[in-house]
Amino acid sequence: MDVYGLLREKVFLGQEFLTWLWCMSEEENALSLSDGTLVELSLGDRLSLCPVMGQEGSRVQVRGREVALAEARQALRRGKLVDGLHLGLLIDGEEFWATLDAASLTPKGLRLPPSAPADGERNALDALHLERLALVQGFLRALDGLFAQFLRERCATLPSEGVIARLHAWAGGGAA
Amino acid sequence: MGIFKGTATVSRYKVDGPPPPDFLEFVDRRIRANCFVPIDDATEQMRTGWCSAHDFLDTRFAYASYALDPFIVLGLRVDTRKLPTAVVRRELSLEIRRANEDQGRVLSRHDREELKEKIALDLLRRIPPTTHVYELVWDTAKGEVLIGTDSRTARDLCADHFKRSFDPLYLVPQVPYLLATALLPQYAAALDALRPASLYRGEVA
Repeated sequence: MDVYGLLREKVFLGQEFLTWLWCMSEEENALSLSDGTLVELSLGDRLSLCPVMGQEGSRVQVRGREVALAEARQALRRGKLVDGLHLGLLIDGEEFWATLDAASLTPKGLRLPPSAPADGERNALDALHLERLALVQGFLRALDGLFAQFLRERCATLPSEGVIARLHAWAGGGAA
Repeated sequence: MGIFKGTATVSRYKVDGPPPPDFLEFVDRRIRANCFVPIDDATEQMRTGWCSAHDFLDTRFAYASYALDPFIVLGLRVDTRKLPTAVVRRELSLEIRRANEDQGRVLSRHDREELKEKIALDLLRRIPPTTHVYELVWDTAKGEVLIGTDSRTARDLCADHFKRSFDPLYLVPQVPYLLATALLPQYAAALDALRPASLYRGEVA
């Protein structure tokens, strides 16, 4: 199967992962990744949900916090999953924000922790770029760690121990 | 948005293909062979080529300035010219009228097509191209590439130019499933067997 076939066939993995991230941002104070990194999740102010892959239905887009989240949770119980969200990650004390979409998990509008301004010298510019790349890679590494944690739980042998059972319980609670 | 300024956007790719011998010499030679050549005197509607990620006028890469060990940092410069349809139509009408008056006969369809092509080529030479630069960072240690855009068209241009430049190496987009199998190769069979789940709880949509 080519890449775009895989993108269509397995897009639900991204949808379920983003839904799990939302759930974790509400249910866990911090997640410890397998490499020891500590990640705190915060839901931002943008969230969109759409029907599970292959099903028909409209997309729900919500902005803002209180009322909008109730609407989003209702969409969850109607069988929709997250296909885009604005998410904050506090990675070992450094704050990152990005918008993620389910199809590619490409971080957009990635806001990095501040770094020292360059003075225009070539070497200083190189150092700044290396620092920025290190921050971007740190964010991607944490995102990969979260994705791996989600996948391990999703592939759990007993369905009652898996991600879906947890998401079911979470989506059913805190009703609007 | 890109990678190095302001908020970042990063599309992820894996580099695939057999690694060439004498990698650094190979990369240097291919970058220089595929760097951007200005479109000014040509009639192409689009041209792509490598430039410095930080200065799109720099295509010389003095002292291998693209190297930021272990990264190779490049800009893909894309110059495009768009023919304004209304201007082509106006010029064509003027030329047809002039030709009809000069020759005292109505131009054939073939003649009109030729005239239109000539006008388009003439206009293309006169229209200054618009320039876009997309940042590309190749992590040679991990065999990964980050592209600073999420536009499908721009990403395809970058992947095509990468393949053209560094063949037999090419880029594979890291869609969630491929990323999953790369992160947890021991779960490959389980991941392949996964099917979509639903959280539907009987509420009417």
